[in-house]
Amino acid sequence: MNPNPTIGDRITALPPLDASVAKLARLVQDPDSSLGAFENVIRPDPALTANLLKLANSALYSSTTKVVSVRDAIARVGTRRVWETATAGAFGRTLPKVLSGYDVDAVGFWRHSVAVAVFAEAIARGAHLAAAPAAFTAGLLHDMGKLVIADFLAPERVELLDRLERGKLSMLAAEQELLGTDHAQVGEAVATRWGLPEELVAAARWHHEPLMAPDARLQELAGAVHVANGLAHAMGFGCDIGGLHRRTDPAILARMQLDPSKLERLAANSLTEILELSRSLKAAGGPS
Amino acid sequence: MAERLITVDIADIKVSNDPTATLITYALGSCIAVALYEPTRHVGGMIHYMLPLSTVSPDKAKESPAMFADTGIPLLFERMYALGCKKSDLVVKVIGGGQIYDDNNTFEIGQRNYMVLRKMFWKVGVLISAEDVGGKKSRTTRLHVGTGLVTVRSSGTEVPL
Repeated sequence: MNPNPTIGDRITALPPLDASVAKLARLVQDPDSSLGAFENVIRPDPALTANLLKLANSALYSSTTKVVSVRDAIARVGTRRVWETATAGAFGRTLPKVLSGYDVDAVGFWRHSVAVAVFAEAIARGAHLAAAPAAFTAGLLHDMGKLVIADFLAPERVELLDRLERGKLSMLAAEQELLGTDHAQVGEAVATRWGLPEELVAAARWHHEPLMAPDARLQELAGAVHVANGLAHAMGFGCDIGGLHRRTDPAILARMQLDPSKLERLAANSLTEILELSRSLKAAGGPS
Repeated sequence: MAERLITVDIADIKVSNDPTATLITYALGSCIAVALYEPTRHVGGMIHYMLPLSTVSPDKAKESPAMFADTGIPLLFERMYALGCKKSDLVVKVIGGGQIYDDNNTFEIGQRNYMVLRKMFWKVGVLISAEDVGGKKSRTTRLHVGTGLVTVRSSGTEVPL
């Protein structure tokens, strides 16, 4: 064991995401894939099977008939939600009990991740974005860089609070000053290490500076995650050491044609889904 | 006496006349908690609402009136009256309504949440006895039903209000 691991060492040492995530990502992309192909990936994975059945029988799919087979569950929630559920479960298993440098536990981090996923999907659909199908997962995973740098930030607590409160720095700028990198840069490295699709790498990298993303499609996806992140913090999903020291880019809000009443409607209409999903996705896969 | 913790979720109201109970709500962000206390009967009540006006989603307001200031706050008072309280005896404290940085005020949810509350209270003559609102803080607040003590915790420190 390296006695003083660097951030780079930690990224290399991260456990891989379950293989089922990449397999399902390929199946979702392929218009010719059959329901049977999905079943073959899901059935050997008991945690994923349990999560999927739980989701299909949750209040989100208000049906009186109970789903008991994997096949029926896929049919009810849709193949994309299957991939998203697998990603959520796999991601949930990588979370430590506490992200000490951020003063947030796994439950709080998880609620934040799910809230950003639900808001990002609603924003992306509302704005008819080309990248909308990736928005939920992009939102869910946007803060994956924090898993790596939390421990490096922990000894800097006093300095960090000082920069946020007295220096009025954003969380990202404070991380840069203290560590020479930030959770968005590290998130890009983690996403690459996990072999995630290009959109998800870009969303993690640019969720605080969406207009820096390389093309319009990725700018919009990172933008949807960016706004969703601000809304999740405003609504108290994911209270951490940064409090409300967040800035939302007005250019992105304008580009998505979002005004206060649209955002408020979106927040109101998403609450049930956030609460249901953070409950039903966590039991078998995520933190308990 | 063991303390009984009652969690007030987001878009939720709880009232209690159990002197061992403490009402608690977490991570207010731009949301607002109103804590009511009736000192002679030892009744406490709390709402954690998300948004100012139910007009943005009347369907949601029907399903979950505590989501909005305009539908939730009157309900909190009614729940207190149902336990024998009178309006004039209530001690009213307001917590939350923080703001993220926002260059063109799209995210003014915290401020709007507070303005609507002030307007409602002004109309019906309710006075706020203490408040901790606004700023960049996310707050967690408790109301001890036995004593009426309200505390607010943010950035790791808890102080009485």
